Amino acid sequence: MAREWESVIGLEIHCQLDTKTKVWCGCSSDYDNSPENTHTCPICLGHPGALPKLNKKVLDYAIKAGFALNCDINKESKFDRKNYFYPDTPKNYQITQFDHPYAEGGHIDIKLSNGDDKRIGVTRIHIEEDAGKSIHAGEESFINFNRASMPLIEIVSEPDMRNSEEAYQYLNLVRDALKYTKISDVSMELGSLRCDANISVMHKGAKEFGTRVEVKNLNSFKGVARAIDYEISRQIEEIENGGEINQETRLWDEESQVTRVMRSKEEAMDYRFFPEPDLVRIVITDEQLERLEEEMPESKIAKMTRFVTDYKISENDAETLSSSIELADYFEKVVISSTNPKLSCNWILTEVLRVLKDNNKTIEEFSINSEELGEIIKLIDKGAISSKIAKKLFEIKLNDERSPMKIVEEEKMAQVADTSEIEKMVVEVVANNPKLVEDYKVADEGRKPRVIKGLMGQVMKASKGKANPKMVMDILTEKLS
Amino acid sequence: MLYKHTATELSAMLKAKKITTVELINDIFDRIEKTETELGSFTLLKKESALEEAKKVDEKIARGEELLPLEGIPIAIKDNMVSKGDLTTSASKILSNYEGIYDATVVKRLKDAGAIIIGKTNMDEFAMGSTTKSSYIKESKNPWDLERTPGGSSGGSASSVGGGQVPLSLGSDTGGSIRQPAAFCGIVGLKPTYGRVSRYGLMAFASSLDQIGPMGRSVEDVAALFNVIGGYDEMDATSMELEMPDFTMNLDGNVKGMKIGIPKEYFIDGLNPEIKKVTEEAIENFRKLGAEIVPISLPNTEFAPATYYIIAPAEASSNLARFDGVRYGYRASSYDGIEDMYIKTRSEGFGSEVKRRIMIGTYVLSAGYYDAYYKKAQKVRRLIKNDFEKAFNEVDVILTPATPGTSFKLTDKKTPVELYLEDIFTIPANLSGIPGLVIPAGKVDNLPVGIQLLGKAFDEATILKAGDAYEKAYTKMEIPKL
Repeated sequence: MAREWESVIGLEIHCQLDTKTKVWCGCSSDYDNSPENTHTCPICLGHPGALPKLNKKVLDYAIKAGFALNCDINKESKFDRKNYFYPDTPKNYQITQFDHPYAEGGHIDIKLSNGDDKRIGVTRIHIEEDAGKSIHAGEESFINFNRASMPLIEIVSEPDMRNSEEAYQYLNLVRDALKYTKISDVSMELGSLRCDANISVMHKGAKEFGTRVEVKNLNSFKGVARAIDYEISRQIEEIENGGEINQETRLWDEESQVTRVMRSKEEAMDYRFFPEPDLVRIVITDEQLERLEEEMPESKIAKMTRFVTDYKISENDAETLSSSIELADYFEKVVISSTNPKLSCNWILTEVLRVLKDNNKTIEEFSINSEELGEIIKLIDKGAISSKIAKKLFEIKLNDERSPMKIVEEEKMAQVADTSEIEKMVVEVVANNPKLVEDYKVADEGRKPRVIKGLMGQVMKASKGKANPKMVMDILTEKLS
Repeated sequence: MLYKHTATELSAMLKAKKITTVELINDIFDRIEKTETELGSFTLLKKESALEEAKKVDEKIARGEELLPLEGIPIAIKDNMVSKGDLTTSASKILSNYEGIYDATVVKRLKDAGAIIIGKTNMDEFAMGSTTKSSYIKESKNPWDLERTPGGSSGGSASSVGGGQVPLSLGSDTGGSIRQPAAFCGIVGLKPTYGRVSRYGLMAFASSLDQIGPMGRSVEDVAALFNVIGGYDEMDATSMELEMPDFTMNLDGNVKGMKIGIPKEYFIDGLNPEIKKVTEEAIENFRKLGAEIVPISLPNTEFAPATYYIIAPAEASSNLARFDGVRYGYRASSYDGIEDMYIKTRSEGFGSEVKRRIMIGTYVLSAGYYDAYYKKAQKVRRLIKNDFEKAFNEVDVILTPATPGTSFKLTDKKTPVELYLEDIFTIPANLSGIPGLVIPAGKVDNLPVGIQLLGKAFDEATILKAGDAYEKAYTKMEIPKL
């Protein structure tokens, strides 16, 4: 009988910090649309004699990441050099933190499919510098150093995950938590979030972990999950066929959806780590910690819980609304001006998110501001417009500078709530539909509401949807009795 | 004959309008033209730009404006200090075509102070050596005996000052590279406290040990140059945010009551008896000046060279990794792929001493040996530092010989280890970060002998005061006939 397998997964996540300048020099980090090698200086190009100097903002941002992932912040830590030759590494060593990182012992709670919470440990977070980018063109190679010395944090998890789903969730929650602190745009597509996975398999209940394989080059959230799934089956198959797992580094090939060997343990590098003598120890003061703690935003979890309690919306809705801090802020502002949380929630989740998705935009780029949407919702809430008209108003407002109120006025969209006018329309419909009227009069109590709905539809149609439905119903009932 | 004056004297002459700056620079270059073929002090001379700068200073004098202390004074800098638009080679083939794209902090401070940079001086390749023989560019000679070494690695800086080519120069000192050549050439050299002078723009040899310092023909000159280059620099994270007093101010010749410690571990068997004699005379002279002589012990001294020759190569192996032919400098002309390009470029571009230290450094940092070598060396370094801290609780200054012997012949065959022991008296100051001053104290067979005064961290003032007092009482500044 085949024995059951269990897999062990740990993730290393690199996140590029969104500071204005690089980690050791004053070069602007805003190089995305700049020509190659224009955001460089003697320091980030590793010119002789140039020395690094820690950008204080990098430390602030990194500490916030530590808070967001529930880490302990070490008051003292140090930088080390990781030595290896590679053309896009200007100094041929990377400045990183080896044995004394600034943050340790954090965690993130994920939700298992059975609804239970599972805690995934964050072993450590450390600060390091990014390398440049190699560009290979046929026989020739070029290097763009604009990205060289950009600040990164590396978040190392405990090997607490057991399948790709858990890893996927952990990665998403880490991204959300970081995104909330606004220290990074955490985009795998833009390369500001990168992930490597350490994967091993063992027999269920075994005490010792199997041989670990590191998979690099994971460029998308789905890629991470697929690579893990692939690697788990590959390792199980290998062992079941009598083979052995080698400790090696593999690359995920997105195109053919397989992992390939990059280097084996035999050719593993000796990085010759030693303390970076050009930088002094990192010392974090209590004042700095207090200041940063104060600057920390409400976490996503706290926000969700508050939304459910304060606004009486469902947990699912609260989760979607808090998927980004900007959307959550928008929602809360709409609630303030509409004074109707439930309706505000529904409008954002349906109409607003649909428009954003169709146009591939974010909430910050949305053309209707929170006050204006609040106004629309308020108009519905007090019966000034029907929800149907409100949808029309929303569509107009998408490309219209006028206030919702003004559009309603100028486009004559307000509900007709004038008794005599509605009465006139009812009389007309009753006169034009003798068959339905007769039908209503002979119908039993069960059928009556259906027949009257048909008549009511005629009145609403005549009013072009603007008549107040409750008034129409009242007058119609009266006329037919 | 202006070249025979100290910088302080020349500054006074400029201020009194006895000479013009252009005259001074021309005189300096006359002397250099007469002596350079023999001495080989320079890797680069900048006569044209020096004369342009001189004219500006003269215009300032003509306008009646006050001159800064070193304004108009010619100075030479070691070729491992980057200066914008100038070849800066560290005397290595791998940087033989490298032109600085920025100014080192010391260079910027000299320019701001109006000093006139007249050229770059020869050195051991990447400051590794005690002879200046490892230079890729040329051989430098001792002005007192052209068959002998000026010392190293700041050999060119020492021979240019000792040989009367320039009143002041800058050197760098990782294990004694200012002090040993100063002793060999009969001049004054100061290695300041680590963190006192910015290393920004100094091509790194061993980052935790390197320090730039002044070299000159009098303690007062050295103090004046130290005033200009020293002080906090935000470009160097290891630079200390401490006030720089005016170091020329308390040179009053008075050492009465000053406690001078004599460490017994520095008077070892390998010490040349003649040197020992000169040093003992110096101790006696200090006593005569009113200083109190106190025997002390620095028990971990014997481990200093071993510790140094682990830490320095370790850091060097990493610091020199950037010279790979990818972005600047020399690149091998033909190669097959990136790996081969690295290997050929570095094999052809580095000299043997540099390669030897890169290999030692790579070895001691490798995963299997880190704990046994590098980590242990760091611990011993701490012990050596503790020795000094303890000693300075009892004394103000520590006096030692500067070198085990006098300058040796360029043709002398010495093994690398014999050469490494040349720095035995100077290395402890680098390992513990404290300042060290070497001044001339006498001669043996017409070759200069120096003594070393070590001070507390950031207390350069006291060793400069002691050195100045000694100089005023016992030494006469000399320039050999060339």
